[in-house]
Amino acid sequence: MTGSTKDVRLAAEGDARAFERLYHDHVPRVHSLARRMVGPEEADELTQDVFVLAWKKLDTFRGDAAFSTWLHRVAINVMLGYRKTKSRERERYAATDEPVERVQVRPASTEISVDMEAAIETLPGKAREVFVLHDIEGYKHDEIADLLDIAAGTSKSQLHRARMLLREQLTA
Amino acid sequence: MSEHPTERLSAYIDGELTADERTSVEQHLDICADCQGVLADLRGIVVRARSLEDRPPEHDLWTGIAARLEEQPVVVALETHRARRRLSFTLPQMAAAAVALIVLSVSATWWARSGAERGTDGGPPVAAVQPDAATPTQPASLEYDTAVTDFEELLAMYRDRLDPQTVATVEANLAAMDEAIDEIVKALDADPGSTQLYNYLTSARQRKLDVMRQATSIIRTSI
Repeated sequence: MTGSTKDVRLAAEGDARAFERLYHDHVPRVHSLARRMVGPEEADELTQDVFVLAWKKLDTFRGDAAFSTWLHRVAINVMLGYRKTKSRERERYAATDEPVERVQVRPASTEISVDMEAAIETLPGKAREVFVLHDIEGYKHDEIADLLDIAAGTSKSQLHRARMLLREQLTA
Repeated sequence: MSEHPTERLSAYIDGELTADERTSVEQHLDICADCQGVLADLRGIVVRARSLEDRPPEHDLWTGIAARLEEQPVVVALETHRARRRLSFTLPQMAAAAVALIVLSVSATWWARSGAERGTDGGPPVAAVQPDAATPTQPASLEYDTAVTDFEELLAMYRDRLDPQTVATVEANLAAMDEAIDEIVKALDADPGSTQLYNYLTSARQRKLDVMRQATSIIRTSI
């Protein structure tokens, strides 16, 4: 039994120390995902949400997949749920806000080439989700379609859109 | 020269074109320096994306997580400041509140049951939701917990001044919404990875928040 596997079992039995070790092992990936999906301002809180939810759901982890895979799925669900609710909130309470689909990706006057992480943050909602899931996290379009409740064709077109927007940013 | 196949370059990179489409794109690329440049840029982006390194948060988050792991349900002290004056709502207020609560409650229950059974979308339109609404099985949400606590305190504070029938209506409908939420929680327990159930749950709790918000508004404007 590996240390991580043992920690998963101990944590599922309520051992917070073991869960803390799991946290330290996995927090870079979860936090990076959060940063890319929801932005740096909210990444800390969402990361905490992921680990708190994982703690509460650990007894449902059957060990069929690696713990990292299970945790990653939990994280994806938390991020997507959060983005969805934020999007609905914007629609309802901030109708005058500029729609995300029209976000100006590159300020007209800038000549500064921003780095990849910063450029990802500027992507509009769906394009950002698809890009992170496909190009960074390695999900396939049919998987993304299921996760985001969109057609696979939409996932492909959003991915291309994201790449073109990033090209515009990164080659400025 | 044929039309620039820019829209198909991502699919080309990802190997998702048919043989004919691929041939067509390649024939264009052979003679179009612009598209060659775009293709090179896009490939570079894909490579850079795959090589991004994960970084830990700037601040350790464990302390906050540990505190939340030990969180206990909030016990609300309900006494303080019970008002003496009895509140009475106008008939339109009463009617509006009752109708809104009943409609929301019934639809939430139906929606939760049907959603949990089907595991798919199809319920009534969902209301806007709080960014981090939470449930007992979801990440703790200070905002949600605070809203519930505030409402319970408000209701307790002015219960004596409210029409008993109004209080009963509010409480009965909130109880029905709690029942709907509980059903989704059970479904989530059985399928914790379900994004849709997670979203159902978030929306159900938002409905409860909306109802509490409406009731709070009525109470505050009536005292």
